[in-house]
Amino acid sequence: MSVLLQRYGWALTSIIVGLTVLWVVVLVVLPQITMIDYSLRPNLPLPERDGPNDVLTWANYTTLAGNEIHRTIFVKTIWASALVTALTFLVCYPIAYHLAQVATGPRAALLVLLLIIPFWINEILRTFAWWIILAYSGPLNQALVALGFIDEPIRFLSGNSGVIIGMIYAYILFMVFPLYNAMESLDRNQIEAARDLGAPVWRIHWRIVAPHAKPGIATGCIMTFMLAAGSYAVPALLGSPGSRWFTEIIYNWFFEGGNWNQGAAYAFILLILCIIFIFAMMRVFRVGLGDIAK
Amino acid sequence: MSKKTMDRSSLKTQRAARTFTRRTLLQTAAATGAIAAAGPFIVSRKALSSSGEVKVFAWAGYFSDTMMADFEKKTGIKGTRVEFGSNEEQMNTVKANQGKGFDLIMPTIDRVPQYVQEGLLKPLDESKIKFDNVIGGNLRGSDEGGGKVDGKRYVAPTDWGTEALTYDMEKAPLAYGTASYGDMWNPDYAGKVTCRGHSGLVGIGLYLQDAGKLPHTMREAFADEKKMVANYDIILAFAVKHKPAIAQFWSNENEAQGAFRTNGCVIGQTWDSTGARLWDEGMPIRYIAPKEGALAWIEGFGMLSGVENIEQANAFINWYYTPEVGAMYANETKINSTVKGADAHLEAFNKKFFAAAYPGDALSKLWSWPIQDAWFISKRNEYAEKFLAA
Repeated sequence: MSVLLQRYGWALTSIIVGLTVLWVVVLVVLPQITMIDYSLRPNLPLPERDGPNDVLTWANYTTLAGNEIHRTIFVKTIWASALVTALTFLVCYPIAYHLAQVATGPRAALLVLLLIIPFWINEILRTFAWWIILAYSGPLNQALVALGFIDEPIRFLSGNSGVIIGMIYAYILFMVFPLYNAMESLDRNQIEAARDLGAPVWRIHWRIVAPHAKPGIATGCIMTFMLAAGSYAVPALLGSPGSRWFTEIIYNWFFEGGNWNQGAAYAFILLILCIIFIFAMMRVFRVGLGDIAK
Repeated sequence: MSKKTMDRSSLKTQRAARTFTRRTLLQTAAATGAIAAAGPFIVSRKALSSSGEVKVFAWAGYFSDTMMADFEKKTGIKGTRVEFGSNEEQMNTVKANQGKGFDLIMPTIDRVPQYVQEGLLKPLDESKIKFDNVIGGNLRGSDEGGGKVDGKRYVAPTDWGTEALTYDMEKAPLAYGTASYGDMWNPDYAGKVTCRGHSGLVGIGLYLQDAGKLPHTMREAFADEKKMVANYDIILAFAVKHKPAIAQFWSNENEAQGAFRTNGCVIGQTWDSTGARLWDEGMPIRYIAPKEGALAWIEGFGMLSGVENIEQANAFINWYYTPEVGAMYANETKINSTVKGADAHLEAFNKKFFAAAYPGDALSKLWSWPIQDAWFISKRNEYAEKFLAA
């Protein structure tokens, strides 16, 4: 604080601190506390609120344990989010490595620009674009039929494939940049030394590049996983009758069932279990919190 | 924080302290925070409320810019329109704002008792609204179907429409008299069907009811929870068995049109407006009432309990209750207006569509949505959820 004061003076400092506090309190803390409050109360019509029936209860949290369909969807969501994270990593690793160690100067800058430009468009619109591309009568199917590869259009948007494609695309940058940051600091001489000593490509990556990029890998994976598990737009737009995401159930409690209390409880269960899952994974891959903060 | 906002929030705080006895700290803090964030908006709203404006929360696509301009030209009142896509979205937005923020909303009449129970609607002043301009049958239908609660009229009916079968003339031809909700599950159309979660179940219910496979009628299921469960267990089993036939679920007009436009569907249970708009665009899509009866609904204007511009809101309703405006609405939306004399101004397409959709005795067989109470909605949602997740 004193450093801040010295550098900016009291006027600017109080504006900076004030805005930060306002942001955190009004936009993060208060809504979360309100949601917790909602999740601990029964769903009552407005005139009955604060009446004798309005008591604190865990009932909204125990609903999930008693609903087999929701449990299954929950597990599927975690599993599918992990799959999305793994696939995104596979797609992004070569890109990040190329940017950090192979491409140089203007070429690297151009590649970064090409990666970023599509992300200037809103996420919903990009997802909708995928819906159009993959639709039954969409351009991809029309092209494949016109070229004679298939007779009948393929239903790309069936099962979970549409959702997974959409998510990998939506979260590429969240994976590429942490990886790129971590890989960029690797001394190229180490790679050359390994090559001189006769190491094959996979061993260079396994023993030198990946361990060095571990903090970046962890950060990228955590961000992608959390975004995937909490995404609503992608499953809502690219989902099929056969795919159901846990966030859609939360949405459904709020907007179809009109039971906000239940929806709030489900949202917290998702948040808490995702955090537990991430800590468990960090244990498994031996990543500490300190590594990520680097 | 400006002085105005401070005053406003302390006022709000006092009021909140009186009405909310127990959640005080939390709710007030949240409200104050929200007001601090929304400060400029509140100030501008205050400034405008005296100069004659009305805020309408309307179905997406119901009131075009042309219509809003026509309203302003004829009355001098500035009309603001915000749109929603489903009854559920409307209900939850209004609940979140505790009946404030808009003057008029547009519930479907079968949902009105729930709004009244939640204290969100205010009875209409019948002396101020020109109910004589409404088609008698529509007004009676609205009153009896939920628009009147405890003898007070809460709804000024604006339009009525149906949910029935939309089909591709070439790939899934249907004819009146034989067309049935059961046709959607014909194996020939597997993988090319669209419907909405909760109303799809009602369509299946009517099909099974006429086939004699339900223990109770569908109308009884809306009134008694035990009978509902008995019926819906059978309906759900049928729905889950046939789910692989469904290419896409829809939940609003846009998605329903998309199912036929880009997603290769050839048959589905949709709103009349979906079938009409696709036909109007020249697609080989038609719409027809099945022999079990098309699901019929009436909508209308309701006045929120937190209404700020009562006079202007009445003016908006009365503006709508003129034959020219009623017809303008029907021509743009392809939905049936309840205004007397509007049919004289209808475009040829609307008449052609109406005749094709309801041939023979279809109009006498319409199946009006029964009143849907809160318990029914929550139970219905449980079944719809199982259908969607299966």
